[in-house]
Amino acid sequence: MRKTFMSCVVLLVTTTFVFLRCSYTASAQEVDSGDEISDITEMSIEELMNIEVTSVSKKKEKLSESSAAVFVITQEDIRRSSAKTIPELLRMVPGLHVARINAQAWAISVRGFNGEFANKLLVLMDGRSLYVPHFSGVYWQLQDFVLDDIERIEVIRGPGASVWGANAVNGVINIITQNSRDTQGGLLNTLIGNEEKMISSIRYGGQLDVSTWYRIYAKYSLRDNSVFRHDGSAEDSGDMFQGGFRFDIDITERDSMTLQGDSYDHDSATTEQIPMPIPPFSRTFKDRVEACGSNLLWRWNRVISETSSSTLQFYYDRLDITNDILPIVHDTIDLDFQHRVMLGSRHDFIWGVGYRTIREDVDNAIFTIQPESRRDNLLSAFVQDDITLVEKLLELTIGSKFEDNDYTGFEIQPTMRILWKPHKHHNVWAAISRAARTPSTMEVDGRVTYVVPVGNFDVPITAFGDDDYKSEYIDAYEVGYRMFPMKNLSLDFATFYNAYDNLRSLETVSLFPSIVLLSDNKMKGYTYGAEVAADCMLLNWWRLRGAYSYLQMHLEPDSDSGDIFSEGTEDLSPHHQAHLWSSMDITNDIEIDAGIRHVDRLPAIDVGSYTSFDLRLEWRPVKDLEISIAGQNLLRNTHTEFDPEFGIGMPSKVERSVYLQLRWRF
Amino acid sequence: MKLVSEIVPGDQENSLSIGVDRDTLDKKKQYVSILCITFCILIGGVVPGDDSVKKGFQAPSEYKVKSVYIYNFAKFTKWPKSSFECDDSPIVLGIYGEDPFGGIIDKAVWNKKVHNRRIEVKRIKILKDAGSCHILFVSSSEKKKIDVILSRIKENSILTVGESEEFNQQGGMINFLIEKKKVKFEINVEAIKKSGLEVSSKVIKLSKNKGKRRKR
Repeated sequence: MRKTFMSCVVLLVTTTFVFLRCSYTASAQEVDSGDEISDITEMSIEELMNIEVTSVSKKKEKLSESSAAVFVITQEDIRRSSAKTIPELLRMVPGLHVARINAQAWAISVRGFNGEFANKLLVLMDGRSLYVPHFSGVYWQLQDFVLDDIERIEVIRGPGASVWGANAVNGVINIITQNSRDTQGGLLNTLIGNEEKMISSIRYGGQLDVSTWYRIYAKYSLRDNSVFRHDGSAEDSGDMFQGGFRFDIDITERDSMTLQGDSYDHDSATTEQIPMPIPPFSRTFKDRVEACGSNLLWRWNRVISETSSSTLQFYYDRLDITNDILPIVHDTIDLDFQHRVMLGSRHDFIWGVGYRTIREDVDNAIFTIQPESRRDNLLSAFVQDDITLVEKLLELTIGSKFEDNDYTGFEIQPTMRILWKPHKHHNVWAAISRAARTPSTMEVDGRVTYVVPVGNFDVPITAFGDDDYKSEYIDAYEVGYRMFPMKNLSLDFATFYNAYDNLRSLETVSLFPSIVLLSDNKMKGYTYGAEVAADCMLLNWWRLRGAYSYLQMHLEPDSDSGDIFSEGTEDLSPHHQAHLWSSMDITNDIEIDAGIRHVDRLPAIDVGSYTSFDLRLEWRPVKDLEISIAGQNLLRNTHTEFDPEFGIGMPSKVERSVYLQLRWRF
Repeated sequence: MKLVSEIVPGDQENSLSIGVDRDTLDKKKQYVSILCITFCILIGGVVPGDDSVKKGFQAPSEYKVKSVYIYNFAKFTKWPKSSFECDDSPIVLGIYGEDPFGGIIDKAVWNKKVHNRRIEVKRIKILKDAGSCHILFVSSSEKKKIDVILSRIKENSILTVGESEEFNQQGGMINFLIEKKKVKFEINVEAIKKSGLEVSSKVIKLSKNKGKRRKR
């Protein structure tokens, strides 16, 4: 561990030296023309009119013209939404199934395969992976931030904007936080409610000198119990304290640096059910979950020339979870480099390399992993070329990601995409990609024990990981169409067909005296569906948006498989989801936002379809103060959205909630 | 096969995994990886893109020039007295939409005074806050919403500056454009008059359209 750390430090020092030397060379050339900005600042308008300027290639793709199914949640959407946490915000994204399991846990996935440990979605925050390798998923209850300081959340459905990291199989979510320049001054945000008992955050941003900005924040959340499906308090309340900082420095006109970090402490309870060797073969107990995590991220952006720029990023992430199921500590170090260059006038080329090392230490308990201590290394690289075949009409993107990991060796994940812009009011895109989901530690070296209710009995099951567990593959075929028929209306349509192979199956090793299963890759299947999103400014002060998602999943065990469970996951994702929301500016100081959403049933876990209504009213009595009152899930007292995985946790219901929020800028 | 009850956590035989000697392979991989990355960084960071690099280090960026233009516009604009709370309230320069300046604009106005007032740069994320600005720069990222933005702030005396094609036609006051790699600007005199601002005729004469409406 220390050796790798030292190597990284040496690397950082070398890079810093190289960059500083380059900047020095650059500014040495500029010394002749005087100090960077001050010589121009004294110029008059007449003089300014005669200077030739350089414009950095703004090939930053407009999302309305990208060859992928993209949805962006903007800061304005975040501010006006009744959502108080990141998972709740994701509900507005078409194609995403966001299901609340209980007061703490969430099941979130794109285009099928949802589960508490949904593993086909890559989630990043500022380029830092939130995906945890021991079960290939995300602990949503541990991902929090001052929502007012989030710049935007980009959700790409489908694999393959090939620049992203490992396991972006069904999609990628990238949460991007604001630059400290954009979060200057103080902000106090306090919310009190019946379900989220309290969420309070305070942030202060300032400027240290002409080119250094910073912000610091602290946040506390307290959540109430949810209710069991069979009634009774689920005893799953908890709280979380988080704090962090960010520095943004403009070292020269071409080099900027960011240093940011967060640290949190989470404490919650959950009721679990574990197998017992004697009748009734299971018992429930209350588990206390304590998790703390910290991260530090450093990023250097450099504009090399009018046509070339690069980014170097380093981060360290630590997660420490203590519970009765499987306490785990993991440390991640990641180093990433990207370079973008225009080759000629037709090729926008981007390539990158990355190295990640993760150390995992577990304390074997109810679940086990052998060996208890391990280090995994991941070396990855990508290339992508955006080729302008016909100027402003046809663009072709070819790219691939290459990865070398410790479980399955070398993986290649190519993508080919085409964008056709026949008219400024429409564009069409299509893509073919292949992606791999590499195994989680549990799937290779783990052992889980859980209980499955069969009739009136609870049947204990043990499932083992297998050393030969392979990567799952997806071949995705996507087509999309965007239309802007009028200035105030846009329509976005995407359709897909995904073929999967090597999906996880559980093969029976023995049935007596107890059921023992082994992980294998003997399942395949396909999914297909479509998503439509519409956005309309009905009037200057009234915006209406809608989204509809359709999904069909078909899974099939291989002919030599004995799996009877996994095919059922077909029915763990809803066939239809629809969402309609309205944003009205009644006056300059009063806003009303309302949303209604409908999610189809999940027959596999006996969860019925539900319709939910959220409402938010905001009033700005004086400048810098906003008071709002909101309600979620207003139509019914309680409803169920999902069940915990493995039957470990107890099924719970989501309750109606209301809250009062105050936002004060100072 | 052991009974579930007989399997004790931590028991070595629980796992059906076969040990693989990964250690030496790992170390080698680590060093090769780090070498590869160092090499890539040196290539990417040191080797210039093309000949234009030399030019790039001498010619200022588009936004550096636009920053200084805006500082000049402030110098030649008079706001009504009611726009300021007191004699030393700063001139607030708001940037609405995606910020294309970065720290350049802050540097351009750092420690400078116009009409004896400081210039404060604010990044505006919510349209409601735009009312508190004296100058509002509307980034090209907002080009589809220009009419909405301008209609919201028409009650205030705000100098609006944009960089999108139809900015002035939709009620904007000053619009930047790039002509033969040089930054020029157009002025909409009517919009300025309507809002109660006074812009020196010197600036109007230097604009591309000389204050006249552009013929469609």
